[in-house]
Amino acid sequence: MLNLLAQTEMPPFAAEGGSDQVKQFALYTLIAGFLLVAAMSFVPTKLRRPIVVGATFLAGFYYVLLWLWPKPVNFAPEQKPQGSEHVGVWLTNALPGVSSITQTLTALLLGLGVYSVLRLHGTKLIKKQKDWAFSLVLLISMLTMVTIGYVDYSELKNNPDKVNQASWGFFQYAKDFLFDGMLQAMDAAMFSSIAFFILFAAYRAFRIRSIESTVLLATALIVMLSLMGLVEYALSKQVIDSITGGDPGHFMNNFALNQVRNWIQTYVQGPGILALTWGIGIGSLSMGLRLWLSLEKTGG
Amino acid sequence: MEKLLNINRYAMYLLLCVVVTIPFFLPPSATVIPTLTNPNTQDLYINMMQIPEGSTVIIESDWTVSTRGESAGQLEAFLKICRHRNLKFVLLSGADPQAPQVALNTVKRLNAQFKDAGLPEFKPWDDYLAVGLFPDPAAFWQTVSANIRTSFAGKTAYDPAAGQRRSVYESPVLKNIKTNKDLGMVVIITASASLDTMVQRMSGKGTKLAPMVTGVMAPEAMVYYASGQVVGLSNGLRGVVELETMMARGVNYSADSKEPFVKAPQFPGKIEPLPEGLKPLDRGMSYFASLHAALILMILAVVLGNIGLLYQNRKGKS
Repeated sequence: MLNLLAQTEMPPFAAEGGSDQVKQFALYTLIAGFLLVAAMSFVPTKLRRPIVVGATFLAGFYYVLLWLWPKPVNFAPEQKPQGSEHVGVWLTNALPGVSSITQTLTALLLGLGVYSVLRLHGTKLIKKQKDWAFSLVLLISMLTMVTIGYVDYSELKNNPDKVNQASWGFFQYAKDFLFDGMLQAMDAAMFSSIAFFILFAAYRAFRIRSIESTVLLATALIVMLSLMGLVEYALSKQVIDSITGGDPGHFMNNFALNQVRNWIQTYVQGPGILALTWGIGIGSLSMGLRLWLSLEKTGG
Repeated sequence: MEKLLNINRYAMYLLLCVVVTIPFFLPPSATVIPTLTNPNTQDLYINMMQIPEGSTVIIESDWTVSTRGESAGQLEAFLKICRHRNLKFVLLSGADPQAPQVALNTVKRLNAQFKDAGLPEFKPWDDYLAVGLFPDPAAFWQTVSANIRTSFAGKTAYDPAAGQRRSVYESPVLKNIKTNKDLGMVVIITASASLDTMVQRMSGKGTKLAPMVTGVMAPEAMVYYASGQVVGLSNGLRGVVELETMMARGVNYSADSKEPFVKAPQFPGKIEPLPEGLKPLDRGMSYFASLHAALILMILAVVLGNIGLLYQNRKGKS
């Protein structure tokens, strides 16, 4: 199948967004998906795991090969591969197709989220469980946003002049009110409330109880002071310059607030983060291998 | 003194609310704060101002209004540079379904400013393409580095001259882009770890990467700057203010014979300030006084708490 995907412009199963062809493909894929799921339900239980393990292995194997298989250097898309170059070029050319599949699969996760919300809150509403009124508000809000958003998108697609406010109709105003006027404002309000908790947490937790906490507090103080442009300007530029007389080679320049902050970032914070990232990378590699080879007990 | 250990949380919340809000009622000229620029922001700005005029850049905008204070200023600053250097851009998102609309709103807001200033607006199709959300940015960036002519396969946009939707590859924005090396720069404005994904797929592939991140993400992003995998870095609100300072005052530049305000020893040339039409350059600066007030309050709270603790410890010993 991957041979079919080895195109340089558009994968053969893809079509231009919004075209009739893409709608046809979507329908065929939907039917094929349902048939596949239905077929899987008839597969004996003992065979299911090998199928899932095999599919997982094949999906991961492509990227492993893409990473490890030697590829011709500076190979132009219009060139024809020769001899052993075929596999490397074939793998590279298949990337857009495989990438489209992963984009689609990831996008389906959004659909899965929507399905989950509908199922959970729909059940709550139908069975009139506790706080069903909140579920009703949530579902009405979601359906309103989806409907208005989609109509607005369709109208804009066919009439891009509607971008200008002078040409707005009901759905553009409604979307503006719902998205910018309400959703975005509430989003910002929720996030800004963190500032209050940070302030109180700093007050309660930043206490000098040990040497370690003293070092942490001193470092945090330097970083916080250096974030304030005015303080840094006054301490690094005015005070230090008055001592050094503007001589860039003067030893005291090392004690300017911005230099101390840069030293902390470069020699303390940076290596610490690198060490963490290194550890996380090794862990991710190990976890990736376990998932790819279906060694995780819950993976299949 | 023991009261210092038990300040009412609601009193602190109210105080924070008041001190953060006051600067918004002051005139903009009263909240202009002189700010030194750091080498990472200098490098970012210098590289941005050296993108060849008329080039195409990709902007991955991965923020929503929850980080507007930092990210909006970053996107606005770069879009103003795009206007100044006549850069074309592809706008996309890889982290949040809300992000594409938020970025388009920023373009719309800036277009209104440009119109008032008599500058040309960003026109869809001719000047920019909004290609929406890529749910799997890792796969997307991998195709960009392998063959950019397939990365936007299937994406269409409305061509006003033709009166119909056409492949984005036919637009002036992407028409001449054959490989990722033809891109002037790839800019990412993010409030999450999406920079990691981009650097892992695009670093060392011949395209300049320019991250603009929130303060929370800055320590992680700094590692990429130190290693040379990105050309510069704008960190949080402070980074926005530094960019605006350089946009307003230039780099190694002085209108009279005075010493330049922004001195970048690593850059031999000089960059003039942006023209008057692109001003005001105060999106970040308008929030900066509030950040100062909040940080001062936080430092005071920590100091008061520790004075109370010290007093309690001494009292306990005696």
